[in-house]
Amino acid sequence: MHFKVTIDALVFRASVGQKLRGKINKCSGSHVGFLVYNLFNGMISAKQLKSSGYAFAGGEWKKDPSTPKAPPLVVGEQLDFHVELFQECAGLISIEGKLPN
Amino acid sequence: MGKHKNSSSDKSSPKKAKKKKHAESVLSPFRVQQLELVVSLLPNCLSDIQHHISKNVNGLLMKFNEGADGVILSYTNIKFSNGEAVGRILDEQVRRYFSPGYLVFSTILACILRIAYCVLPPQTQAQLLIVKTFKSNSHNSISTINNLRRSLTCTSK
Repeated sequence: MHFKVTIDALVFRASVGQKLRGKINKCSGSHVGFLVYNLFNGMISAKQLKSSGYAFAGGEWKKDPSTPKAPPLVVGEQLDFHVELFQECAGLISIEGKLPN
Repeated sequence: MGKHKNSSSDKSSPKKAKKKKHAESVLSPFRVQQLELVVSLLPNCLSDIQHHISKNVNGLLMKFNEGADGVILSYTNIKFSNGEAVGRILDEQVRRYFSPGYLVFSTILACILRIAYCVLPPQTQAQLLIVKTFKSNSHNSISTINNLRRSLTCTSK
């Protein structure tokens, strides 16, 4: 038996270019991983980080001394980023981001 | 999450509230959206429809939903569409179940098959048609092919 129902749903949908904040939970040479709202997984690739002037050393991403100062990206720190890609696979979502200029 | 939901109950002037709401919709990745769903229940669930509908909708939570184009985090105000409170059988065609007898072709290893048609190219491969339907190849040495050629010639005679 089929029933047509309506619900008022609270939906999360990050759009490209949107500014979000995540908490870093992984720092590696290939990417920085973080959780957005303690719920959704996100990452910034090493390529993006390098283009923003970061370099990987000693388990953390640090800004080059030549460029303006910014806090290093380490596990447990907050990170502001812009959404670059919002992808879904088997009901799970992942956000790819880039650092704001 | 809750902040976005409460934005409609802002007590500032309507113009300001409108502006603020627009800004929030741009900045916030959360939105409240009305969704229409078709929930299918089995006959044994019809004793408590509300409960089983909720149970079905709960299965959508925390997963990406194409209809909503996002992840459904929570829901409220669950009600029947257009005031309809009865379920419907949408596919009203009568279904008849029957079990026909099938003739199945399935070969096993070392099974002897009758060759209906055979193409013997001069090289190391013979193409065979088994029971006039299934194609088969015989990749063998030249001597084996020649043996096969000889036996087939004998059979045809």
